[in-house]
Order: sequence, then C-alpha cells, then structure tokens
Amino acid sequence: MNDLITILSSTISAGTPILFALVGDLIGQRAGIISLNVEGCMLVGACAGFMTAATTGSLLLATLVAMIFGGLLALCQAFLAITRKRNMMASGFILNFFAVGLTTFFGRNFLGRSLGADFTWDIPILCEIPVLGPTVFSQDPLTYFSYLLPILAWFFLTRTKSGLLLCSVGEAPEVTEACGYHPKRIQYAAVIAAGVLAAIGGVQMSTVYTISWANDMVNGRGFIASAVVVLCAWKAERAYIPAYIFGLAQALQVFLQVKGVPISMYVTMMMPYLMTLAALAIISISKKPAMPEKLKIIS
Amino acid sequence: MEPIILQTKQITKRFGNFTANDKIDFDLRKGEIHAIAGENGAGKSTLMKILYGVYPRTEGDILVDGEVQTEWNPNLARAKGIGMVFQDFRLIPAFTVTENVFLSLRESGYFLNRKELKKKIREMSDRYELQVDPDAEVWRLDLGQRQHIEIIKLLLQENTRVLIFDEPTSVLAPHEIGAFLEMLSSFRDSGYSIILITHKLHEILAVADRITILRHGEKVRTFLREDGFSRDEIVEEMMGQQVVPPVKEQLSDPNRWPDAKAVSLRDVAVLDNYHRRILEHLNFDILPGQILGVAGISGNGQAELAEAIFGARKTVAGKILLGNTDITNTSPRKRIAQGFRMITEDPLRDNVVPTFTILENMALVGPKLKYRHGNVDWAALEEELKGRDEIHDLRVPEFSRVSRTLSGGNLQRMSIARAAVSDPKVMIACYPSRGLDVATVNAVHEMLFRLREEGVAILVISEDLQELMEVSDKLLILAGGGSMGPFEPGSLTENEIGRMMLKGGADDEITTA
Amino acid sequence: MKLQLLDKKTHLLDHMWLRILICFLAPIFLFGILLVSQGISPILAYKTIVTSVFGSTYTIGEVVVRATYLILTAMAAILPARVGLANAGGEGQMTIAATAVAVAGSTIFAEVPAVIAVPLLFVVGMLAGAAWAGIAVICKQLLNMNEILCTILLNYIAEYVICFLLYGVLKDPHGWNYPQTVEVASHLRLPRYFGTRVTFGIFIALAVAILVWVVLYKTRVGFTMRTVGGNQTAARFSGVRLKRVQSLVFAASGAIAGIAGTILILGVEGRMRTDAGATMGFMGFLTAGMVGNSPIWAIPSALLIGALDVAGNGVEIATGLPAATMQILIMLVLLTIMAVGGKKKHE
Repeated sequence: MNDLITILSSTISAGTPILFALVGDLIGQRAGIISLNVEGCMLVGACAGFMTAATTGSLLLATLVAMIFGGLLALCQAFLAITRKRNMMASGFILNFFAVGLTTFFGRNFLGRSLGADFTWDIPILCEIPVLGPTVFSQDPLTYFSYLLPILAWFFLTRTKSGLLLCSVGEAPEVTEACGYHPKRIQYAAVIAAGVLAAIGGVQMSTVYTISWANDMVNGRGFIASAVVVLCAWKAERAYIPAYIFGLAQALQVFLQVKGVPISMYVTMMMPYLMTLAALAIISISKKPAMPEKLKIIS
Repeated sequence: MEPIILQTKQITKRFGNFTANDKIDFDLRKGEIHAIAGENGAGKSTLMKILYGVYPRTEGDILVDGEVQTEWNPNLARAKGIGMVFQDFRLIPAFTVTENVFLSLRESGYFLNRKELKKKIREMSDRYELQVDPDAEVWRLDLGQRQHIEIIKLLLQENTRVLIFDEPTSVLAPHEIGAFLEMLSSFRDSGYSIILITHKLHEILAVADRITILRHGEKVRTFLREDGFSRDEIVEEMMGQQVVPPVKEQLSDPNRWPDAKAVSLRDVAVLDNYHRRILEHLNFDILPGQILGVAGISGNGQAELAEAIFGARKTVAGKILLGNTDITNTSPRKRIAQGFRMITEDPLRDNVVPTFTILENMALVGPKLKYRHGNVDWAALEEELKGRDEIHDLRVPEFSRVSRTLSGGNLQRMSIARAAVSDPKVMIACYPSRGLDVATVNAVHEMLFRLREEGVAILVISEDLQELMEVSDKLLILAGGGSMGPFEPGSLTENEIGRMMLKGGADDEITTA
Repeated sequence: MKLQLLDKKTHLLDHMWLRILICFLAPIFLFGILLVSQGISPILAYKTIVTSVFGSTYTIGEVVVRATYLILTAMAAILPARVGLANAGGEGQMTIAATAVAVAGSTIFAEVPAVIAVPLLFVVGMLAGAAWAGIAVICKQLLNMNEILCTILLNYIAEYVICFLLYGVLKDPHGWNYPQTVEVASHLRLPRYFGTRVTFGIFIALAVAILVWVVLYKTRVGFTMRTVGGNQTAARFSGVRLKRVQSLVFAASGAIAGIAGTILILGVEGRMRTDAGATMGFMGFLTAGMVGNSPIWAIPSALLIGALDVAGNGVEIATGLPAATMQILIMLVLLTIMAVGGKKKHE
C-alpha cells in the first residue's frame, strides 16, 4: 500500500514538468511552430526558479522569474523561426545548448545547495481521502495548477476566438489573414506561451521534484515533450496520458532501484526515449489528419 | 427598376505595363443576377477583386448605394454588406464547419457557443436547401459542400446583400450544377444581389438577368434578358475575331521514321490533387512527326494530363502505350530513358535548380552526358552545347551565370532549349510560349517544327488558341472532364472551337466530332 | 559557402563584411557583459582564452584533437543537409561506433597485425555508425517520421545503451570497477605527433572533408546530390530516385560519424568510457550550421569551436567559472549568425 502511494505520488511529480512543457509546445505547434527549445526553457525556468526560491523562499516569485526568463528564451526562438524564417528545429536545438551554458554559468553557486523551503501544501479535507489524498492532493500549488492546465488549454484552443485563431495560423495562415488578423503576431504569442509554460514546468522540477539544482537537469524531458505532442494528436486534453506515462516510467525506475530489483537502471532510464520513438513510429504509420498543415511541410 | 447597389465608373487596373481592366463601367441592382463572362485573362477576376477591395484600383470610382467610396478594402466591403465566395475557399480543413463559421463572423463574441451557432447554421441550410452538417470537419467534405459553408458564412453575416461568386461551378460535379443554379435563383428571390463570374455559357443563359462580356480587359457589351440572349452572339463577343491560319500541307508519313513510336492513351483517367477524376476516357495518340495541340480553358486537366503522360502522376484507369509496350504507371526515370521530355507549366518550380549555374542546369535531362574521372565532363558538355543552334536561337544566358540571379524568362528559354537538345523521342511542352516575346515565341515554334521533322511525337498545351492553330497538326480539346478530338485544325471554325472549350455541363448540346 | 546577401529588406546588413564583423564582435561584446555582471574581468577572460589555446604545443594539439572529431561529425551533418535532410544524430552514431571499435579492438582484433586490423577497425566503426544512422533512415523513409526528432531521441538512447553495456557486460574486469571497456591492444593505436595527443586521425579527418568536397562538386554522384538538395521537384522531374539517394547519403553520413568514433578510440582514448567523445557530435552539427554546410569552411569552423572548447578548461582555472561557460560564447556566435546572416544557400 505504501509502495503504491510512493509510486503514484512520484509519478505525478515526475510527470508534471513534462505536462507543462507538453501543453506549452502543443500550443506552439498548433500555431505552426515547433519549439524544440522548450527543453532550454525548462532548464532556464528550473535554474532561475531555484535561485529565486532559494534566495527568497517564495514559490510565487520563483515562478514569475522563471516565466520571464523562459519567455525571453522563447522570444529568441520566435525571432529566429518566425521573423528570420530559419529552420525552427535547428534554432531550437542551438537555444537548448545556449540554455545549458547559461544555466551552468549562473547556477554554479547553487549546485548542491538545499532549498530551505518545502512548497508542499495539502489541500484540506481532500488530502484525507485514502490513496488519492496523499498522492493527488498532497502536492504543491504548481502541480495543482497542472491538473487544470490541459483542460484550460483545451477550452482556450477550442472554445475561444483567440484559441481558434491560433490554431488557424497553424492550418492556413492565409485564412487567418483573410479574417483580418496578423498570423505572425499570433505565432509569436504562441511560441512565447510555450516557453513560459515550459519554464513553469522547470520550476516545479527543481523546487518540488528534485528540490535541488544540477547542471543540465532537464536531460531531454523537453525533447520528449516536443515529440509526444504527436501522441496527443495535438489535442491538449490528451496531454495527461503521455505525461503521466513518462512520470510512471521515472517513478518505477527509482522504485526498482530502491527495491534492489536486478534490472539495469540504464535500461529503465532509456525506456521513456525508446517509448517515445516507438510511439512516434506507430502514430506515423497511421494517417495523421490531425497534424497542423504547416507542420506537414517540414516533417 | 430596382435601385443600383454597387457600381463602378471607368475602373482601370494596371499591373506594371499590363492593363488588366480598362475603363470598365459596371453596375449591380438589387435582386438581380449579373453575370460577368469572358475567356481566361479577360479581366473578370481582377474586376471582382477590385469590387471586393482586394486590389486597389488604378483609376476610376467605386460607388455603393450611389456614394463614391474613397477608402475601399475587404473589411469595408463586408461592412457594406458585400461578400465574396472565392475560387480557393477561405476555410480551414481541420476545423469543423461551426468553428470555421465562428472565425469568419464579425460579431460573434469571444467565446464560442456551439449550440447556438449550430442552430443558426442548421436554420440557414434548411432555408436554402444547403447540405451542411455543422459538426463535420471540413476536410471530410467535398468541394461542393465546402462551397455551401462559404455561402453560409456570408448569409449568417446579417448585413450581407451582395454575393460575388468567382467561377463557382468549377468545383462542382456536372450533376450538382443544376441544383446550384436553382440555389442562386432562390437567393435572388430572397432579395440578394448576385455577381456571377463564369466562362460556362449554359449557366449564364440559365440564370443571369444581365450578362456583361469582358475581353482583353475591356467591357465589350452587356446583354439583357429582356432582349433575349443569343448564344452565337455571346460566343462571338467572348472569343473576339480570331484568325484561323490556312491549313498546312500534311507531312505525317508513318513510314518516314521507322524507329519512332507513338504514345497512345487508351481509356485513361487521372485524378487531380483533390482526388477528383479531373479527366477520364482519354483516347488519343501522339504520333511521331506530329504536333498534337491541346486546347481548353485552363484548369480543365492540362497539368494533370501532361504529368500522367510523363509518369509523374499515376493514372487510375486505362493504359498508356509507347508503340506496343505498356508503360502505364512506370516512373519518370524509366520514361526519360525512353526519350520522354517535359517542359512543365512552371519551369522555375519544376525544372531548375536555383543554386546551379546554367551549364549545370543544362545537364539535368539535357544532351547525353559524357563522364571523365567519375565526373560529368563539363568542358565537353559546354563544347557540345555551343555548337547547337537552339542555344543561340533561344538566347540561353551565359553558361557560368547562377540560375537564381536570372529572370524567369531566361530560365524558361533555358529549359526549352535543354529539352530540344536532349535528343527527345516524345516531347510534352506545357505553355511553351507563355510570357515570352514574339521573337522567342517564333524560335520556340521553329524548334518544335524541327523536332517534328526528326520524328518526335509532340504534345503542346497552350491557352493561346491562335498559337495552337499555327503549330498543331491535330487539335485536342479538354473540357468537361474529358477530351474531344483530335480534330484537323482547319476543319473547325473558331466559333465551334470556342463553344467546345466553353462546354460546361452535360446538358450542353455540343457533340464531339 | 559564404554569407549570402539576398535579403533586400535589410539594407544595413547588405554588406557582407559588416555582417561578418557583427557575427564576430557581437558575441564577444555580449559575453563580456555577462562576465562583468559576475564581477569577472572580460579582459582577463579573453586573455586566458588566448593563452590557454596558444600557450603551448600541447594546448594547440588539444585544439587539433577536438577539431578532428568536429570536422568528421560536421561532415556527417553536411552530407545529409545537401540532400535536404538534417542529421542531428552524429553524437549517437559516433559513440556507438566508438563502443563497437573498442570492443572489436580489444577482442577479435587484439592479436591481428595492425596493417590488417586498423583498416578493418575503421570498417567496423563505419558500419556501426551507418547502422545507427540506418535506424533513423528507416524512421524517415519508411515511417515518414521527422528525422531531427528521431536522431535526437536516438542520441539519448545511444547514451543509455552505452551506459548499460559499460556498466554491464563490457565492463573491464580489471578496471577497478570503472565503467569502461578493456583497453584496445596497444599496437593498434594510431601514432601520436609533436609530443601532443594529436594522432594520425587529423589527416583522416582532413582527407574526409576534402573527399566530401570533391564528391559534392567534382563527381557525377555529387551532381545528383546537389540537384536533390537544390530542388527536389526538379530532381524528381529529371528522374532522380529521391528516397534512395537520401537514404544512402544518410547512411554514409553515419559511417563518417563512425570514423570519428574509431579515431576517438584508436587515437586518444584507447577504451570506451561513458563520457568519451561527449558533445562532439552535437558540436559537429553546429560547426556545420555555422558555415552554411560548406565542407571546406567547416575546417576553420571546427578549429574555432575546438579552440573555444579547449579554452573552457583554462577559463575554469583562471576565473573559477565552469568550463561550460564557453558554450555560451559558442552559442552566441551561432545565434548571431542565425540572426544577422543571409539566407542559407542550401535551403
């Protein structure tokens, strides 16, 4: 019973950063721009967030600072990919390395430092429920927000004018323009939103999940998030499944390790990447009408 | 007499030196269908785009309800109740009908209320017998249904009173056209004013109250229904006075080139990019030493036909033969080896590598290449090319120039010259003289004649009927999803050809020869 | 090849030399600001960079060692780029090849004379690299997946596969439990020169770069490749079998990354470790991007990035900043090139 609670609880905390980055990049991709840089934005968010939290002890402040820096990095991607029309994959890729360099540089004095704060906040009453209480309702505010995020994103993308316009840019920018809007401005907004959300995921990761700062700690989670957008078929409400599957893989890896199960940790660590690749392959074989038109050109 | 809603006075539109519309007067009254007819390039679409504010006018006035409009753009047009159904629909295929309608409506609020909007869409489609399911995703719908969505978008905009249709029936199957025309009449009866742009004669005759004919950018005449429409007069005004050159002496002797083979199409059908059967039951031969001209209003399957013969587009029925060999659906690579050459509709897009020099581009399916030390023998290629007349006649640019830095005309001449010197057996030339000056056009024709002398089987696609009459030994006409002919060019009057080209639905009484 | 000046809108940036100057000065300036913000003298830092690169024959040698890998992994990115594909998987292809070579060199080839074994080890490396790239080819051509995403994911997978092997079956039983393979037989190692760690590998790398250039510009095959890269529609209309050309080129690029892996083992390392050759594949991809995928210009580009990488150690010692700080400078150079550079020639 306790094992189950441990696994479920860490599934949620390990899946949350992915969930943020996934929903973020999904929004960007719906506007026709792949933000491979969400990896970098997560890292920037994790670093800036941890530094702020360790200094001020405020999760709110940490999140705000992380959002700003994540947004700035995403702005670079927007400029290169939208205004300069560079290969969006290559520019995102470079920005990730840039983020690794920057965070290693600025975070150097925070390596191995403890946070000195615990942001867990049990939701009264609900946290008393057996199993669900200590897992789902005994987390931090960012995680609670992440429960709602895919639903909010779904509502935004399918039920509001801005959201539908954003999607129309990824499908047929000439139609968006014919309706009297500016496709490029919308794309900028979408790419920056992707970076900001990924950065929030980064904050959750460094201040709640690992509770420490380590160089390049995101380690490909952003890439996975970018890749599994395909798995959700670009539908925000489906983001829960891949995010928590990835979280489960992480949780199991730690769990098996602790329990001394004789399976190489490297095999379990490889699983998420292998699963992502396999999932992409399966999706690719089936038809993909859900893919935004503008992405079909590059893939 | 109903009041005039929309009017133009002396509208002129120039693109550079080219005058697309020359001093056109036009007006539209409440509750009428005013058709604008003319050949391709007559200036119909330009006039519509000016009316809707897409293009700014060079000179002249636009009047709405008798008031001169100084500012004019699509947003203002829509605000004044003028809506347009474009040829290429402004729809997002991945969205549902409801979502598409929501995006286009001007006062639809920030949040999408699906229930309410769906109800409105249903009401409107019931009223005019449109077939629109509000929940369907647009990509699942055929083009006729997509057109209905475009119409619904305009009808739901409450102030709409003018509907402009740009070649609306070009996306419809023949059996859908009748219903569409009835729908137009019902819009008129509900008080909408309609501008109908088309080149299909029988449609105009069926529904129009007035017909304005454009030719070469000028308004030539307006016919009124009260006066009775004369089909022959209308065709004459649309086609203008076209000179039919005298018939050339017949030179095709099948035994002159014993090795040459004919390309034969047997009941071939091809799909267009929307997976519609744009052409079917194609049965004709391209004979060695003969130029087969293909006439037709553009968009009737010319590009698809050329690609199918070249192997770049799969055929979905029938057989293509080279001599007696079945080559149906073999690759372009195989057909190139068999001597097929193609000058595509857009050489810049399909035939030219922009980063290459002219010499390098000449090596792509040009003269047979020699190799030295594993490399193309460029010196030998240059030597050989310099000795060929076509290179000089077609004024191919300096071999060392990078293609990207050259104009479209230069590259077009280069691709034609390249095909000519490549020892072709079958030549497919799409619009070989489009955009070229008179001297070059003559050089291109000379080149085609020379290839004909050598026993090459030649297919020439053109939108210029006069050119086709000049060069063709036989004339094929594409219209209404199939081909007519081949005819002897001299055996037809221009009026007959024009009527065949304008042939639209199945109800036309023109029969194939 | 060089920066192209076709963008008519940006008048100020129409001058090529001005652009090159910006690409050179802007990163130095921005990086300087960064250093000042941390209370570190940029003058000291830049001086350290220069001295730690040109300080001795040994340090120059280190630059050449890194440039060896970078040239090769850059070629692995350049070839596919010339047929309209992006290979971001040089990292995985190189390290997988290195592991294969380390295993082969310490087992089946351990007793074989160098004249036979060394060429065969290169073949092993190339085959391993090509095989790893082959997975991406299958993903791209049969399953229609995006090749950048696939190769990036394959890099991570390669990393864990190698860790799994090095901590498991391939671990040297006499290696004090370090995660590394048995050392390759000493007679199979490449000769070193000038008292540095520079090996014969640099000549191989240079030869490959020149070969790539020759193939691209001086052969019939290269002509076909450039046709595909220049206009895929035109290639199709001239009878080129697109998928076939692209797949073969992609596999060949994996083989070139495999050469880098072979040199890594037979040259400096001698055995495979978990972080041997780390980041060289990624950096090679960027080395190529920096010079618009020109094989010849990739050589100075590799030397520059190699030098900045080497300088990282010196900067760490002199200023106490982490070595990864230099990555910021490298990326600033690349980002500036992307931001102000002309349209890429081979898009």
